[in-house]
Amino acid sequence: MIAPRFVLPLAAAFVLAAGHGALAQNGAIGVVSSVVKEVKLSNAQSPKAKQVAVKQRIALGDLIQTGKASQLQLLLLDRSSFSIGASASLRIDRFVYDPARGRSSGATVARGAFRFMSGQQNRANSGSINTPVATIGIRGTIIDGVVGEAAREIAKGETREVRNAKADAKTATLIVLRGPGSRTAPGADVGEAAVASNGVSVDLTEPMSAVYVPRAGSAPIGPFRLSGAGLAKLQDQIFPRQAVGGNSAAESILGGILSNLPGIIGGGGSSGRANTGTTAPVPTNPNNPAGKPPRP
Amino acid sequence: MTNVYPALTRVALAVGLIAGLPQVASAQSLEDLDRLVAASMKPADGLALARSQSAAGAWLDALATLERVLAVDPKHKQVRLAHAEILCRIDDLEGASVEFARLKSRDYKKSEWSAANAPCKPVGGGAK
Repeated sequence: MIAPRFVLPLAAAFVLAAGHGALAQNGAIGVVSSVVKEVKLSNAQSPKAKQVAVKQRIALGDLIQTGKASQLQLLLLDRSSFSIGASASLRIDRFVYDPARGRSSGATVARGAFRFMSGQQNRANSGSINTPVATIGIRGTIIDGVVGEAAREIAKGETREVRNAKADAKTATLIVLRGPGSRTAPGADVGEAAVASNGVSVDLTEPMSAVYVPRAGSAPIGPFRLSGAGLAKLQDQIFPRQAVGGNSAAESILGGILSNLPGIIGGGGSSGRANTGTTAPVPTNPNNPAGKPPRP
Repeated sequence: MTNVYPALTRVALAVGLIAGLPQVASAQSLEDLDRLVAASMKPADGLALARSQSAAGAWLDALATLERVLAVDPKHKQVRLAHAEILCRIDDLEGASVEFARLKSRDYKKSEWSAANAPCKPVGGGAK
């Protein structure tokens, strides 16, 4: 179940689309904006997967799959972006967009790591991402996620409840809200998300708050604060080119560099805030003590 | 808000704005998206576009632009620094700290490093 505040904008978007016509219900809804190595596309008309190229058009129902050490970025008409990492599978199922009224989108990530970033800021914008075991409702947000074995591996370094959960290597899903946070610079709406599975929904309202759904039929575990090491591993999954091309984030963490930071996050990267042995609640934001999105 | 970029960069940004970056930065059609993609094929172009997007408060657009550049040139130091800085600006401090941890301050001018870290304060001072 998606939290009520995600349902109304979503419903409103559909009503708007029905009344005014969607700009992109049929035909192209975006373009391929970045390709690294093997990225293939198939659809009902062309079931044989073919390598994609930069600026190639993307339509509803196109299935995009990446190979090893590969990655892709899509730009959608509302300037939302979708990035997926290696061995991932993405399909845009729904995209209703009116520049004056907002966007409603839906996508499925069957496996692999992804990042979704909302485009033009509009409070009517809403969207959802389905994984095999969870539904993520999103608004004004950067969301990172990973489905499959990598999620399970990252979970092993997190809180006791997360790491001890019996997980399915193919469908385990880890979602983390990256922002924008309540102290964002002007121009960006504060991000929020809700992760639902098995009839239970968990809201994410603070950057780094995360939810883990270990298998089908499991309620979401969280929210908990993802560790810096966990985030680094997740980033390397989404952007394997950067992990190979530069110092991987995970390597940096393992090298102890992050722990030596002079407190950029109030105690340094993977400071153990998350690894407390139990599911740690997301710390209260001093500007948002109720933990609610700062929207009216 | 703290000024992010050195004076020369701001001049270059202004020139870029006059030359048409705003039109690119506010894409609403497939052709506009094509122009966004074309404007981020080279690191220098991508940085200029990201800076114009940042100046307009389109922080997530700027991040997407820089991520396209990094897909092509993952070691580009200025792009990586700009990406980390924007994460601070949108209050993703932990994400920024992970990225700053991958960088070396000695690869940058002191002023560049300080300017990039400024949005992360007062919570912290950035990486070593």
